[in-house]
Amino acid sequence: MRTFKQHIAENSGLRFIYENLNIKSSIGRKNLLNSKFITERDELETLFSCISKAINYLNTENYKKLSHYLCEINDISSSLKILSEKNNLDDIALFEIKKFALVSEKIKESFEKSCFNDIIIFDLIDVINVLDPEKSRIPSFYIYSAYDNELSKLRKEKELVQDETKAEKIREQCEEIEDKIRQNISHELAKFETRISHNLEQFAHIDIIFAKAELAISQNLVCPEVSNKTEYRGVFNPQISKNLIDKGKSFQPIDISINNEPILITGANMSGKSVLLKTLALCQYLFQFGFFIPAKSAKIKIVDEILMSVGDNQNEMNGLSSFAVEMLNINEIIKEAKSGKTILALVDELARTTNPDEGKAFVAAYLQLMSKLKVSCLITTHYSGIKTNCFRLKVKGLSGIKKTDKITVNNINDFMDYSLQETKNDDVPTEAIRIAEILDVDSEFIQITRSKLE
Amino acid sequence: MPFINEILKHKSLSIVGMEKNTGKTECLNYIIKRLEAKNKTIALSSIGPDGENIDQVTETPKPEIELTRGNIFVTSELHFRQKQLIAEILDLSEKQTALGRLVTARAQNKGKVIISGPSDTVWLKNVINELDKYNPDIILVDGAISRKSPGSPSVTESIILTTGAALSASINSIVKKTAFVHQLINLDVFEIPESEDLLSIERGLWAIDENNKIHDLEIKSSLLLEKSTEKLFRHGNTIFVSGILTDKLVDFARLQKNISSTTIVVKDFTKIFVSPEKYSVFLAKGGKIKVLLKAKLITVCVNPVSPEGFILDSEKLCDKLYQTLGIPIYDIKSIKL
Repeated sequence: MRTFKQHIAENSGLRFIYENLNIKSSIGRKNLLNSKFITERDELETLFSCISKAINYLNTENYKKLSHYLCEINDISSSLKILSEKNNLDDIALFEIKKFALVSEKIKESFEKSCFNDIIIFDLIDVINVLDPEKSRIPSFYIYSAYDNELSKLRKEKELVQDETKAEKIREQCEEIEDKIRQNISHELAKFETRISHNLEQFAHIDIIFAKAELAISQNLVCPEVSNKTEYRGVFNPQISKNLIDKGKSFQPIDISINNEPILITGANMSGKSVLLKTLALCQYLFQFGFFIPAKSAKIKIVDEILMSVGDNQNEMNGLSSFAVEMLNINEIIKEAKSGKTILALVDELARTTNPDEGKAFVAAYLQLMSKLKVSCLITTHYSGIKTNCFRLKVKGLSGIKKTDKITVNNINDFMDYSLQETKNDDVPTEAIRIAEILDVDSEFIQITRSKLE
Repeated sequence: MPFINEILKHKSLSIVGMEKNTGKTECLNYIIKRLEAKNKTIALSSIGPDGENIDQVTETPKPEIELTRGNIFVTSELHFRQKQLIAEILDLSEKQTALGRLVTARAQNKGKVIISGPSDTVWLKNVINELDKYNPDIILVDGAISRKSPGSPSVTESIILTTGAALSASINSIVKKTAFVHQLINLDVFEIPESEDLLSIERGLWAIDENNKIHDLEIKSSLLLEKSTEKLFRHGNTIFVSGILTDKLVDFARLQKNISSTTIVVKDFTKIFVSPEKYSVFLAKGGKIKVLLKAKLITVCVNPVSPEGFILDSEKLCDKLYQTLGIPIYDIKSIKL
């Protein structure tokens, strides 16, 4: 199973989400990047309930403190590994653990007043006692004289000694004692290694939960309901939405339901079909990596895998034609579906790079197969006359245009209705020439194209 | 005691060497001793991993810095582990240098330590800000060999320059080279209310017109000048170079007919990478170079001993430098404590 890190490398929508995520600790960041696609219902539901609680907690004084403490959490896993292997720690590692334990106590204190009863933080007082013999409770460390009377005596003696050879000898004696102390401390701390590791993991978890909560507020995300079928009200794409808002425009949210059957989507060029597919893929990823969803409401079915064929694969570089790449992708979808996995398949303009006769046959056959296998699948097409009984949706497209309106590539957004409606027809919108016109394509070319149609 | 009181007027000081073996470390140890004698608390860092214990090129041992109880230092994990004093760790960076993370520690007794520091000036600035939290009387930065960047007034408030026989066997040549750097450090400040805006510019060439308005000349760097000659002076004769100033721009400006009224503004002297020859021709033609931030040069210290072993006449060298630079010059090794 691929990690979140691998997915954000390939999915710009997911990368946008990640870049807007305010994770405070390096361990939180590391754990999120290494997290896996979640397919367990209980795990997802627990996560979503934690984020909901975290949202209510965001504006409290306690949260301000908590986020400050989380910033102070360093990734001490390499020191903990040394402990778990029963090896001795040096002063730098001991400092790290002491600082961690002190911050840990503060987080524990601020968390006790909260409602996160399912997050358990162990008390690390015993760890602090081992590392703070002077009881200063300050995050600093060295082998204190308080650890050993002999050491204390020798250190004082060394300060007064003038003779260099003698001083050197005392220094060696001190070092011997210091090493013994390090050994004892490491031995003591090894007892608490599991507790410290547990807290470190919990803090990473808390950090991620709160980052997701902050993101839910800043990006207007909603808590999804884990369901047996997928149903979005007002779903939107955060990245494209932001780009549009920056230009003084807005993203038109879409309603769509996906059952265990294929849906054929038709619509004019520039009517947002590809964006819809990408947005649905993004939402499914967000859902199964435990994020809230960009929508007014969302019920989502858990899938084992998301498979896409959107025609922007870079496999052309490997010497394969775009048709070959597409067929291999489609084959992968069929293979996974036949293996019995629950998948979400998103296919943009199947067989568009070959002749329309065979292309249409490919589309109809694919739909038939997906119907038989009961696969949640969305497929867009420009082909008309596809023979299928499957559910069809159509993007409403250009509407409400007055004669006086001058449509350009810059304002087409204002006239395009991106919403979906059910249709029984097997014909498709024929608006390609009009769109080409709006794009200001050479008028002679357009005119000839028109005459060819007549 | 010479120049110690002057140092204490500033919050931070970097010690910058003209060359390797110009006595930078001796100078630093001297300053630390004098400051400790006055019961001042020092916080000490450096820029960059300063290489190995023994200088690979010249085989001269690289002296360690001696600190006493209560003083704070920042060094890499590698050098921290080699320390010969007891030190209380106060902080640990998350970022790595080539020699490991940076450890901030307080000396608990007298002893020696090798100082290494962050790899770039932005990080160094952060380190200096962090060190300020421990309320030291002065923050000292051991500058990297032949790199003047930590001496930038945007990093430390004041600098000490070290020079000496390592530059040349000829006193005249040492004086000439040192005088050039001294001249750059003392360049006039370009007075403009918008200097903060200019300092925040990261790249490209800009013009400042008569009304102090700033215009982007859309020339990404002076290296691309040939393609944009007519662009350069379209908003007047004052040009702000946000990055480094090289011979190329100076040479180009020198050949233009408006050279006598041309002023080139840079952020500070560490951005100037112009050869002394090109610089003096530029000045002779009437061009001017000014800075936004001026460094406070405390003094120049000399090391008359070269790494090859020859020794120059210290008194003569100091005197000649004093005649040319007009500021007191010290040979650290000859100052009696």
